Amino acid sequence: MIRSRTLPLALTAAVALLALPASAQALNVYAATSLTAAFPQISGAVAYSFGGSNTLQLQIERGAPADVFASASPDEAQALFREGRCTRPVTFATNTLVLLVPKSNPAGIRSVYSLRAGGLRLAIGNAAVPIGVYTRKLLARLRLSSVLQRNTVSQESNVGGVVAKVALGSADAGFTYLTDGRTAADRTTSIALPRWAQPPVRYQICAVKRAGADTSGAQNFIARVTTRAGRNVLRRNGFGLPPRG
Amino acid sequence: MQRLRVGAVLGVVLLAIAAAPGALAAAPAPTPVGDDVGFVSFGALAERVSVAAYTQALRVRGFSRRERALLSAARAVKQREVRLLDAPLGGDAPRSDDFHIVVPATTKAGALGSILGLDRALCSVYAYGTSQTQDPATRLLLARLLAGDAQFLTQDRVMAGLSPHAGLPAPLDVDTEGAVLDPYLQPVGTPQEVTP
Repeated sequence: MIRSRTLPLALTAAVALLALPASAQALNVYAATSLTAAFPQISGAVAYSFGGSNTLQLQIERGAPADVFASASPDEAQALFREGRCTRPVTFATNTLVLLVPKSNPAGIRSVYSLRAGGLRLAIGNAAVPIGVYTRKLLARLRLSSVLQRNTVSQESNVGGVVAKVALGSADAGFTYLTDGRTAADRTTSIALPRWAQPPVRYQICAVKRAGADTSGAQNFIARVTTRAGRNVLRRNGFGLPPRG
Repeated sequence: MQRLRVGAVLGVVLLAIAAAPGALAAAPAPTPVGDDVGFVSFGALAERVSVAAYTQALRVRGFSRRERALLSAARAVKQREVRLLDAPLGGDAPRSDDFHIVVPATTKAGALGSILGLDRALCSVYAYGTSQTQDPATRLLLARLLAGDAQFLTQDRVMAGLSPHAGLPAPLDVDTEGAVLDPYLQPVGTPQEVTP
């Protein structure tokens, strides 16, 4: 008899738990793939979704339960801000591009100009994801856009795909952020690119505006990222830091 | 006699500098096609570095009053050239917070070395660009910038005590001349650099 009373109670409790508002659940942080190593070091008590910034932007526009959005370029965060879907974005980190090659470097690539030779397997971000946009800008500035025709190019949906291709030896070279080169340093080598041609890489973060969003949790997280402790973590992971504003 | 010759060269350069902005402003609007943008981006950044080098030159001792007037006039023209190069780049034009530009020269010789190196690089790239760009208006812009910066290069050479008759430097692409710029650029909040 006691058992038969306990079961409905347990079920009711379970249903009540499921019905709790989103704010009582872990904070949902949608962040660019290149932040995969750094963000969990800033806060571990958060549910992270890492991916291409453009993909995450689209998910948020379609109602995904994000509380915080951190993008690898201002375009995506600013678009959400213009649509009234997030607070005014702030720049919290910078990065630079590198040419990543496998540790063994079977193609013997020494600089970005080695790509002119053609016949190589090149991994880049697609034209919609920030790393792909930055890569194309860099190549145009270097007057090397033709390397995308001279080599076999695979276009990845986020920078993680580029790193994986190079680290596994499926690509002879790939354009990534400096921070990604560091995370895969055991399997890859980063080749510096001309400083003058570097497009400015700025990360922006904002609190997502939606029904049921954990606004105070989002603001707390953004504060952690932009204050001293968060900046130190970002610096340790190889990111540049904008002046404190 | 030598003084007269130098004075005449500087006078011609000064007149040319005064005439340059109007001619540049009258050019049709450039719309770089494909990798044309490489020449314009290089110019936009290199002219900024050049402005910083002229500014630094005006801070160091050793230049005569006449030379300072020439440096100041050249800097003003280069500031206008920056705006002309920025226009076709739109949102991709360099911003003041993209880089820290550092010109470490503390002597007249050092400042002239920087100015000479930058103006030579600019002339080389503009000269190459005039034969490589697809967009006619971009080509015209580069040609006019080449005419202006060639005069500054002559002026630099005269101030450095070199022959003003060296002619134009060889046309070179941005991959070669980009190396001239990098030592002056410190990206803001730079992540730890990797070994080239």
